[in-house]
This record gives sequence, structure tokens and C-alpha cells, in this order.
Amino acid sequence: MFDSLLAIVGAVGLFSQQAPCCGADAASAAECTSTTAVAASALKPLPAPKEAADREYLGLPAEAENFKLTDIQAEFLLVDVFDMYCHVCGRTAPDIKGFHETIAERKLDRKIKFLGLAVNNSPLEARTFRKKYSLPFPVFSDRRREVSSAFGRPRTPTLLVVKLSPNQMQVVYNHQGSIVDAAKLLDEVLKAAGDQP
Amino acid sequence: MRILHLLFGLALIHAAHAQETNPRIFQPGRLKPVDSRLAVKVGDKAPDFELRSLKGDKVGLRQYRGKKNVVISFVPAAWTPVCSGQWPGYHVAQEIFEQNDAVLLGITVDNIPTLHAWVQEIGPLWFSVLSDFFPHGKVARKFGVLRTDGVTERALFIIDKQGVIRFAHVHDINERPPLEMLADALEKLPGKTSPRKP
Repeated sequence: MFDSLLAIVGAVGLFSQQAPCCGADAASAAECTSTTAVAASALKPLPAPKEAADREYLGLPAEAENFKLTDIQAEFLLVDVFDMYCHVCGRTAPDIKGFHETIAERKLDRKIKFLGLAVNNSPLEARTFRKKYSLPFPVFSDRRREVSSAFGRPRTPTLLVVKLSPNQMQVVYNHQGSIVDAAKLLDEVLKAAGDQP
Repeated sequence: MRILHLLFGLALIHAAHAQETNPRIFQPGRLKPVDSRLAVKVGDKAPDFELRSLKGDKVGLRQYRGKKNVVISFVPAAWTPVCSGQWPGYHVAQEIFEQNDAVLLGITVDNIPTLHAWVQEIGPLWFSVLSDFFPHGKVARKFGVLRTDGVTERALFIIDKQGVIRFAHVHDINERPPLEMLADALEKLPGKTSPRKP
């Protein structure tokens, strides 16, 4: 029953023809702390990264060809939803990279992992964005939004905090649009991941 | 069943929210995919031109002769949806141009003040942005990419260091050209430095 409801929500999302980018600016930045659960069975698999370092970071077996987000070895996953053609995404990328560094400095990098989803982008476009902004975490092409649709087809950029468990994931926080106050946003993200009062 | 209807309604509201776009970007609707006829072809000498850039200087093909390959990206208009993503994407892809010893010239028929405001919104951009405003679309007409309504096609040209057109493509104005197409065409240029894929 629950999967059926998710399918209906997802199907409506697929027909929404969301504009690929540029909807968000400083004025339209928004946060949301309501939770949304997604069953693992509803998740589209992604190709496992070719680079050993990326596979190791995500905790995937060396022989894995595909994986689901729920396979990632972490308690929480920070999903950076971006589009190479979204100018706001280029502005938020350095902040997201900074979050990754801070989380590693605080020794939370085994608990909280990062992943980039390049929506409407080809693998080349996803790689190009990662290289431009030196993102230290794996990014994946989600050209047809088959993966991000599980999150309700978020606008770009969106940062999601996802609680992982073997059979489902739960979005516990999301931030859409520009990052006006990076320190405040990181506090909110860590709070959602249970690391700050 | 009521719960199903409620959830379906919520999903519709959500979908409507997802369609929100930057209110400063004009939505022109679906346009005729191509509305002009190319006046140049691969193998031709590129028509020379000189246009004013956003920086205030004049930029033309001649200054790159013997030095750099030149990519020209005509986009239809400032403050429109696809254009407002295409050039920020080329900003991200700067390395692909540099690896192929190419500069990028972005051209629209908008005037300089309009381009200034638009690039402030979508920038920064590493490449030169040129105005083909007056005489209106003179350069676009030379290439055969001026549409009947006065804006340009969404067109890409690659001109080698000898000034010869090596790639000419007019894309459906409603859609964004894939980066792969441009990257592949750049890699086929003669006499470029060795490419390294990102």
C-alpha cells in the first residue's frame, strides 16, 4: 500500500516537467525539516563508481556493479542535488565542499557521507562539475531524474539529509536554493543528523 | 480511498511547486525549433567581425588567428530559460575549452546594459560576452542564424586557428546542446594540445 502511494507521488512528479534550474536565489532559499520515507524497493540503482577510492568511501564491495543509496555504509547521507547548468549550484558547491571538510575534521565522516546527484546531466557533465569545484565525494549522473524522483524531484540546488537504514531511507532535512549562512546551515544539518542539541 | 485522494492532491501541489522558476527569467513558451538558414558551412573561411564586449573592448576573430581556436555560442536572448543555464554550464566546463586551446565567445543580439544585468545574475563567466545589438544582428546574419523575430538561433561554431569553420550546428532553440557534442568536436580539431578528459 505504502509503495503504491509512493508510486503515485513519483508518477505525478515525473509529469511535472520541472524547470531544470535557476529557480532558486537568495530570496527563495528554504529549509524543511519534515520527514519523508522512501522504501529501498522504490530506489533506482546507480552504477558503482569506477574509482576505488569512491567505492571505498561509500563502503561498497569492490566487485559491485550497481548499488542503491541504502547500500551506502553510513548513518546519514548528505545528497547534493545539482545541475551543471544551474548558476546557483556553482555558488553553493564551495560551501558543500566546506561542509565535507568540517565533518571530516569533527571525525563524523564515517557516520555522515556525501553524494552528488547531477540531475538532467550526462556523466560527462557530472564529472565536469565535480572537477570544476574539486568535490571530494562521488557524483552521479541522474539524467532522467530516476534517482532524485525518489526525493520528490527537488529543484536545484537542494541539499538533503537522509537517514539510512537497510530497507529504507528517510529525508530528515532539506535545504533548497542559495546558501546565505553556511555556518547556520551546517548547524542545522548536523542537528538533523543528531550531532548538535 | 479518501486518503489516496488526499495524497494525490498533495502530490499535485508538490508538482506545481516544483515548476517554480526564477521570476526574473522570461518564459517564452515553445518556439519553432529552427527559423533561419545557415549562410556558412564547414570548410568555409569564417566571416570576420568585431563586436563590443561586456568589458568595453572590441573583440573579433582576427585577434585569435594563428593563436587560438574559437568557439562561438550564439544564444537567443538574455533573461530566457535555456540560455540562462547554457552559459553558466560553459563556465563550469572552462577546462574543456582550455584543453583544446580554444576561447569561447558568447554572442546575443541584446544590448550591453541588458547583458550586464543578466551576467550579473547568472555569472561569473570566464569568457567574453559580445553584443550584436547594433546594427541589429549583423554578425548573426553573416552566419545565417538570425531568426525572423530578431533573436538568434541557439548555434555553435568552431573556428580553427587558420580561421576555417570546423563545426557548425544549429540546435533546437527550445533545448540545450549536449556538452558531449561540443567536447567531441573540439577534440577533432587539428593541431590542438593533447586533450585530457575530465
